[in-house]
Amino acid sequence: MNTVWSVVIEFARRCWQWLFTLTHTLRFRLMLWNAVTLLLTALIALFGLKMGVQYFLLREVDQKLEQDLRETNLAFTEPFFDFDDPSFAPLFDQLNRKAMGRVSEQWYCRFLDGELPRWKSINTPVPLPNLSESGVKNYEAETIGSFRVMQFHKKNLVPPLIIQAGISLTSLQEELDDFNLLVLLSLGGLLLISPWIGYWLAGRTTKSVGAVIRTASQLNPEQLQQRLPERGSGDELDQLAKTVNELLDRIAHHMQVRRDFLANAAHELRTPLAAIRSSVEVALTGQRSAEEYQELLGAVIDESGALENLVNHILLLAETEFDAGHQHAERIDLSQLLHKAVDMFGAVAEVKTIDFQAELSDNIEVFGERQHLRQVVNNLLDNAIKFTPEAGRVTVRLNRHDAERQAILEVEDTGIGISEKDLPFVFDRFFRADNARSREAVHKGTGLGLSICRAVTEAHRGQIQVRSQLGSGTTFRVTLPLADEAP
Amino acid sequence: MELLLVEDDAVFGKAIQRGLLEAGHHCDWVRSGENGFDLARSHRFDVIVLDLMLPGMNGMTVLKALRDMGHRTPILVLTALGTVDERVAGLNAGADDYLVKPFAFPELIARLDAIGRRMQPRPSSVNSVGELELNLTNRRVSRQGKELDLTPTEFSLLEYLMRFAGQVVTRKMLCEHLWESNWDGATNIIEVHINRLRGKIDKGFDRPLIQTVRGRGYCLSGER
Repeated sequence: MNTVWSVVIEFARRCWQWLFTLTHTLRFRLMLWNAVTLLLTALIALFGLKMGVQYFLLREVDQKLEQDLRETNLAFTEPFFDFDDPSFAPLFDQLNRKAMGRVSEQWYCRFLDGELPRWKSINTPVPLPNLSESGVKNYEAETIGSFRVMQFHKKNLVPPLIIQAGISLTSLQEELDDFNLLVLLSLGGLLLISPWIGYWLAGRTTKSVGAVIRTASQLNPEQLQQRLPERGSGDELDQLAKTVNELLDRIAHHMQVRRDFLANAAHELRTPLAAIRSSVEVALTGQRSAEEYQELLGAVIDESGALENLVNHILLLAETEFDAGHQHAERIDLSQLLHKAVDMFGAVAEVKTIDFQAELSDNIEVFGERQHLRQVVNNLLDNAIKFTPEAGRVTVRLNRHDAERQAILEVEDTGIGISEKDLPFVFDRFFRADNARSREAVHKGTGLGLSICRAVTEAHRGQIQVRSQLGSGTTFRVTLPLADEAP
Repeated sequence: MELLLVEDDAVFGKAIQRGLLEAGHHCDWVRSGENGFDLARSHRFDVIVLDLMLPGMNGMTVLKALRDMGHRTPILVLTALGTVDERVAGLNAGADDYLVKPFAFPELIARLDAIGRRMQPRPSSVNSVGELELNLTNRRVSRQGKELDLTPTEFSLLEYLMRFAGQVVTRKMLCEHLWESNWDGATNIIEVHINRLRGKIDKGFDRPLIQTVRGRGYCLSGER
């Protein structure tokens, strides 16, 4: 018994789950809307039709009654009415024949003197419908009980008579009932069909949404080449597909940059690692003098330093990217920071007999991370001095653009310059211009300097630009938003 | 100094312990947070060198537990995580100093000395190494009584070297001291500044006071 119950409960649970899933789809909701709209339209149309039919059928009855009354009216040739007068016999005969002929309609006619019945045709129903309470209006039909009744007040007769004719509405009602049944049947049919039509219509509308879902479910970080079909119809769903595709393009590009970066980083880490390994291996094979050991271990320390720098730069890049919220941002006097950097690099420029000029405006403050901004300044100055030949000139300028509320830092050199071909890539990670000078040991760097500059600048809502001419010099220009005036 | 080293890595721990012993310190080395915590409570140390990433009770927990107990022994924290957040968290938890792995060994020695020195009274305003004299009050430097004209940067550089006279001072330490900047580019800026300083204090004298220690840094020494 328990197992039966559990099966039943399980079945009910499944059904409920299925219903829940079904009713929470966009298709289902659209289907409901479609079905409801369809049903309402049909309901209004059928009701209108029914009313129309009823109206026309009644009008037909009324016209018949009016014609009958007018005919009867004309049949009065004498100015008086007397039931026993034989001259009225043909009229009574005629009316009785009419009543006989139209027995299926239960047609009748009667004459009243005030409330007093004076004559009635055969087949006059019993009990008779009462007279209208609102008084007698000529040729105006009224529904009294199950009869349609019309009256005429013949006032110029002695005694004045009310002539009443009526037709039973029973047969008409039967026709109307048949019609109503038809309407109900059609409505029932529609009720059954409309959800399916609605479902089908909704399916057509949501078809492209389904395509979006299917494609999106097939996406993973390794498989980003899938794209949603764009039908070119320009509707909202097409725009959605287009937007999603553009997003996918950007993600795919981002992932590619990531992959390249990882591969490059691993490659760059290998070089110092290989040097360390071979130095140690050489040191471990055979007996060596103390000087040789010193020499080999010195090389290990040097290469460890290179390794450390590279790791630090990679971490700095990651930190800049992921801490764009500036948790440790502070107010920084950029002028002071640059004075220190100029002091730091001035000696190096002097050794290289480079004319090192600093044109620094005072009190230029920005909001940001001190260490990161220092790194930008140091990298730019180092590059400028590194790539400027002896007796060249390096100029560093710091100004404020008050209208745009920006600090502008420019580092200009008269160095070897960057070729037009290389210029778009200088900020890329591990990019090194392929020329003889950059391969010299003295120019060895991690290849991340300028990408750090860009990452840091952008994290500070600033911009970095480069202008260069091969052989005559390079200018880097960094713009950073000024810190708000001190309160 | 009496030192306690809490470090789980066998190779790294052994190297540090040996280095500290050779530098003339006494060093106990434990490899877990629990042992470190127990030893720190039962013995008196001058400085505790504490690694943050430890199995079981981690360094931060040990640090907080010791400080919560009112334990006041200076603690130098070591970690491979060098983010600003980490550093701030460590210092807030009561660490006295912070060193990010990998570091140059002389820097560890210098920082330990600095922590030890903080406990002692301020040094006098006149320092001397051999025949070189540096007066912190009037910022004058002389060698063999002959006055030397130094720029402010050169003076700071010499003053810092003098503070750690006889010890190796790394380029990184100098760079951070002089310009608060952690320059690790290929250009050897410190070497250029050291050479300028040498040009003033060693040039024309028979014996150089500033020695280069390959791969490690510089050392100011009056001894032969």
